[in-house]
Amino acid sequence: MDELTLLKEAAPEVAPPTTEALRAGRARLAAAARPRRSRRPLALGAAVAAAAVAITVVPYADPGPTPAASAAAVLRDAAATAAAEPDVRPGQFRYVKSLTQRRHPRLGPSGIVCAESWYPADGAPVTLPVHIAPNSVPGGCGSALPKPAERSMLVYEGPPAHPRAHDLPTAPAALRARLYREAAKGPRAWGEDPGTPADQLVFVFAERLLEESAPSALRAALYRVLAEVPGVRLVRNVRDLAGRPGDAVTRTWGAERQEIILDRATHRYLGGRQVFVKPRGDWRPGDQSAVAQIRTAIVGKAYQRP
Amino acid sequence: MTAPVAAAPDDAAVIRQSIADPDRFTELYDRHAPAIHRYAARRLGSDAADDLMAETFLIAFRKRRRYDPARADARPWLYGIATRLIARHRRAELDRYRLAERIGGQAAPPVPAPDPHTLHPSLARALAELPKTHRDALLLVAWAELSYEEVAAALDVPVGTVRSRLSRARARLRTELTMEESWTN
Repeated sequence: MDELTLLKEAAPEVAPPTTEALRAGRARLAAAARPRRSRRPLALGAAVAAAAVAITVVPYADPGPTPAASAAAVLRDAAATAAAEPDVRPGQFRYVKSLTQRRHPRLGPSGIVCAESWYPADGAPVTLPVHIAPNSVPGGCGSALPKPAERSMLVYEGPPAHPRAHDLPTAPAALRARLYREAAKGPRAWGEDPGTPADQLVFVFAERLLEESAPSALRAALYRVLAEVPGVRLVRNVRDLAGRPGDAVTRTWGAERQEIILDRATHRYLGGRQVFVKPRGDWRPGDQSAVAQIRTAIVGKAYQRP
Repeated sequence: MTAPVAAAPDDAAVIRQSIADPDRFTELYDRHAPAIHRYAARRLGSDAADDLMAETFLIAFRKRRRYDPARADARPWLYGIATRLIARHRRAELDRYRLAERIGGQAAPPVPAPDPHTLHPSLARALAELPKTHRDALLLVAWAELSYEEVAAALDVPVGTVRSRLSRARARLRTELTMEESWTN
């Protein structure tokens, strides 16, 4: 079968538009087509606003000019906390239960998805056992785990989003040099927007590595590297996706602010967030996606719950 | 004697009439909105498709005076507008392909994911790695079922450009799929 036929047959099965969606779209068009009595044609924007669904704008904290020293102090604390955490031994797995939420520019937030992942000791698995509870609400991961034949995997192939944890040095100076070398491959190599500077790429690498369960020595070293990245700011008194109080270490470039959220008291890693701070295409300031790690533990095998 | 039955006016006629009589434009919506929705849903998922469908027609309405009356079928024009709107969702589209790639199971079908309408992982990866212009051309052929000439009209490029983008995109797809096969064998 040639690849074009394959692609045609692989087109996702999609439901036709609902009657409501068709009606709503038609109403917006009709509103644009009928000028008001004043005879001034409706601006397209006004027509859209008139028919728009109510949108909740989530207020976001503007970091303002905070001294870099505060961010560095929090990061050093985070490094100490991370270094003291137990590591996974060969043959064991780190169990991570997390909540994720994405936001559509106009339809608002997606549902909160609960995922459980099992990371092996040497990290960076080719296939990562994962259970994503459908139609989740917090606690939705309590659903029954799938039978072996029905299990999903996260397949780590294709363009990488960050350098692999198992290859990285854990001495901070060496790690720093390595991360900047990787960043020098350019933003496209990492699926980021053209023009993204190296400092932002390094921040994003750290954010992603922390989300994916790096060993404790690497996490500690990542925090130390971040303490020396220019442009990193601290935002105190945030809440993560699970509502927990935290401090966020952030770096903004372009339209997005990247955040690493740490527990307020211990500066243990809680999760990450990406917030739009400027309009970009359909995105509006305040639109965000977030991950909160709500439970981590060491277990003996994949698909075992602590 | 029965009155002669007039043939339904073609899209160009509807658009021309809508210049003076704007309400008539909704007839174009009735004809083509479901197809635009289907294309958008395949690329971005159903959530984004509702909005994108409506936006496509709002933009088309605004541009109706510049519609080329020689084109009896408005679909290429509409698909071109939709494709440019999809480009603004680029990140969402690539995330969707990555999510599809990541949820891909092996022999058995995976546990239902948040969005069940996902692509086979190797296709998802291959599509995500194509340059945007190649992906647009390829999916307009494969999923919107336009001819090369219609794709050229939609994207406002010469037919020769469409052919070369298609042939490069297909070659990349072939390579990716062959590699995937040899990996799993």
